[in-house]
Amino acid sequence: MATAQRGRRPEKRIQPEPRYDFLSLAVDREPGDVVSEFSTEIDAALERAVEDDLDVAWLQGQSCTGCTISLLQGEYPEQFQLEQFRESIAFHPTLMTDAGDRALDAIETAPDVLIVEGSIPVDVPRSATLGVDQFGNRRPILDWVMELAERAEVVVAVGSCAAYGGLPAAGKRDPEAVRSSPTGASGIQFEGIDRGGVLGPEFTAGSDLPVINVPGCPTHPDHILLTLATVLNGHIPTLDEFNRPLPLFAPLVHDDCSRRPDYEAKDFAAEPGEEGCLYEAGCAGVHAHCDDSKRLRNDGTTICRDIGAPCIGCVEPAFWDRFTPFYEARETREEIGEPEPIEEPGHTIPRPEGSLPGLLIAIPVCLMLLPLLPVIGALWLVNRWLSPDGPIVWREDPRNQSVGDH
Amino acid sequence: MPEIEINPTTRIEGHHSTTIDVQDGQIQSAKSHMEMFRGIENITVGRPPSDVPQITQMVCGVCFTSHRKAATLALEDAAASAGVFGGVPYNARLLQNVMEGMFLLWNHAIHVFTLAGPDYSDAVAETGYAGLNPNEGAGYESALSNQRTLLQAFTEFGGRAPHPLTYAPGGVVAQPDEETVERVRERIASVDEWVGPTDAVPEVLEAVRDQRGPPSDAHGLYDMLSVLVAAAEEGADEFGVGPGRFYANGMFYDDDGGLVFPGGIFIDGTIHEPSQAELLAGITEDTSHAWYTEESGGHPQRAPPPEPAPDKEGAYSWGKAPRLDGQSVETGPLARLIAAGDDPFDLRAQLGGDPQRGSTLNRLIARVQEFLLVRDLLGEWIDSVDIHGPLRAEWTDDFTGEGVGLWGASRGALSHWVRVEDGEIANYQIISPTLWNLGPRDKEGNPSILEYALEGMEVEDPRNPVNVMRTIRSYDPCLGCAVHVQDGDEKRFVGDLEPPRPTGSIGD
Repeated sequence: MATAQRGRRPEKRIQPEPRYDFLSLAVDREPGDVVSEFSTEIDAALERAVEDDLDVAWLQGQSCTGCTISLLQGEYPEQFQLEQFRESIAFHPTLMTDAGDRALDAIETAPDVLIVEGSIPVDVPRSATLGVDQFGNRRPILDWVMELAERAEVVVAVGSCAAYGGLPAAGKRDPEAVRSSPTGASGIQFEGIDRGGVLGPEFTAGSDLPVINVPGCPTHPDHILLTLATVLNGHIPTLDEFNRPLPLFAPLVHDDCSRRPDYEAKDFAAEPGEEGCLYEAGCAGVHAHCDDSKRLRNDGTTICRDIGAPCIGCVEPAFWDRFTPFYEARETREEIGEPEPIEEPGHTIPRPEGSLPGLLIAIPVCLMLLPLLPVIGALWLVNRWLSPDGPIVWREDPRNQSVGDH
Repeated sequence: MPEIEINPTTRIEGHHSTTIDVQDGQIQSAKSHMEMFRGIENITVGRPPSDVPQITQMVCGVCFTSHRKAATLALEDAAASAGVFGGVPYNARLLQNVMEGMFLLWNHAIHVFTLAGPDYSDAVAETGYAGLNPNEGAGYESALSNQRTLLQAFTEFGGRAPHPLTYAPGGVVAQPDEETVERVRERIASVDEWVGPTDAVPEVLEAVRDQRGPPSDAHGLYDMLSVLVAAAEEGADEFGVGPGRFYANGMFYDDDGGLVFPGGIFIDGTIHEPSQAELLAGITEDTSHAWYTEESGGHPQRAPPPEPAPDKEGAYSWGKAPRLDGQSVETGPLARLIAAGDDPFDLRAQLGGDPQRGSTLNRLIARVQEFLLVRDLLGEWIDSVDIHGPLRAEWTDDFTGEGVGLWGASRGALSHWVRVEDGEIANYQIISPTLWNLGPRDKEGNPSILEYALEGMEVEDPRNPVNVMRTIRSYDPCLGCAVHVQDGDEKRFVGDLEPPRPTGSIGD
């Protein structure tokens, strides 16, 4: 367990002990396997936040708390792990033990990891506040995020609202005459598919990483667990073009869908709840990138298509505007002016006809690129270990030098 | 500034606060502030009706199914009024009973065990009761595990939770088979095993009073009743007392076309059962103390979606003040049981004194009573669903009409109000239970239910207002709560405000 690793960080620069990179481990494993196979190691990573005094703060902007509730439904082989998860987060308005001034104190220092759930109202900042400032005025979450993100090593946007704007920003990107949010809700570093958001396109946290997006409505508990455990271990996740951790958000929902044979057989359901592929009932699985088709939800119980509900594309930027109306066949929807963000050959819009040539191109291209991955990874690792101020050594804590057991 | 956030796993959003003015040990005035606005009602406008249950469900990651349910009811009502919808198959209603039932059990368990419970454990006060101490309480731990099992059972029909995908206008989208139903039964059976038999209540209550420890077959029940006994000993029957006006919407479908919990209004010691038209005509929303324009208030069927006015003079909440015939009314499980004239096992009479008093203790007891009542009905509903029977009636978005969805959500009376024009949403309003209970004052200056219950309350130690927090939590507010205390000199405390919650800082 992690207790053996306490206070040993100064030595790690020379001889790093094995700190697992769970996201890399996820690359060649089935969704769900890393969480069950490495539960002790994930536990140890979370414990690091407690034992090594790494501060993790979890702020809620315009949120429904669904991502937090989702977290509690996760696959935790031992009860202890959920306990660890709760304890590893110094400030969380829903989960924390502490309260009052002491609670706010927990976020007034620079957090090592800042997690944000919910979108941020930019036009009406007072429509989401936390505490008051020294003058007694309500303090907008916008201010909290601007201030803390600058000082954090890693910033994680949990859920589609924090990542891309989500529901409170719905309507902003739809040229049809729908009403949009009156608060100017925005994601932390994206607005829909565009970089920008609250922190701007150029923002990087102390680790040189942009905001890590872990979208979903709600987010998948495994996705938060693996991302958080990985960054707490000092590893930098590889992100896709929308800053999502790659292995978790690489597959399309369509890829591993249990109704895929129906799709291939062109056996389509006309309405949700019917047998057959749900593509013509509005399924966004051909656009939505996440491994939920295999990982499933609620501790491996089910996923949307199991009850006959089409995928609503909740992990994608501009979710809501891009995929509504939810229950109309995709190809009959009016163009909403969003360029297709995913340009992977064969994956742009998989259709019963025409997908084969795309795949024929994609597979060799991917195979050709594969050998480069270890090289890129190794170069990155070398760079990480050589850098004295890299996030592996999160920060110097005097307590580790005086009380450490080395 | 002292801010108290409600504790572990209790899905309370961090956007509510309460300011109390304490003079001579008594609360002179209280203000309930809702600190978040997203404009979800505005977002529905211009969209097709079929998308609305999905959108409004996302109002809350805790009460997801309640909002989805009320939205489908509102749309079905509107389509029926337009003559394009003939009604939902009873079989689909039964499946909704099953899902709403499992959801209610989950919600009440979370509340009793992890939200309110710790307030009465030895972690917070010297009650001698350790079971729901969040740091080491066995009851607390088993509740966390059982809440997961309950949502897994829910998910067999829901696809996922939070934010399931099942209810749609006209019925449900679901494809259950025998195995699905069997898995649900198994999961519910394991929760039942944890709770123990309902008819053991009198016996277990004695065991709690004699501090004999939980009987082997009723661990959950023992913890639930322990909380109630501890709360009674802490005097929770005497504080947090509201004005004695209650309003409940009905819930769960009966096979005779009625509702299992009928709903109704209890005012001046009498139960009234107004017709739906009478009830709807009496509901208004007041924006005099809310950060919205005056035009945003009025009757929900006529008022437009809210327009923010963040600099408005005298406003202190993002919540509007709903009123029934001009008066504030309390809603929630207690209101439902009073409207139904029910006090199972006489728990409220025995522990809470008057079963119809709107006290902090009675609100807590009512949640336990409702948990047991619904748990016992759930099995019947599961057995009654015909998985091969009709689950959804034909539905079209293409109509013009208006409608209302009234539903008894776990936290109380929920209503969704919709107007559809030519297949598009033209107007939408949501009045949530927390708004009824925790909204602001109205233009006459009359307080909301929470404000009323707090005013006059004795506060021995303004730096540690335990009973204030217990009272706020007793409404199961779907919000994070913060308390800003002002002392008699109108000076805000900015020092330590000891939270009425388990001590021990993370990282200490």
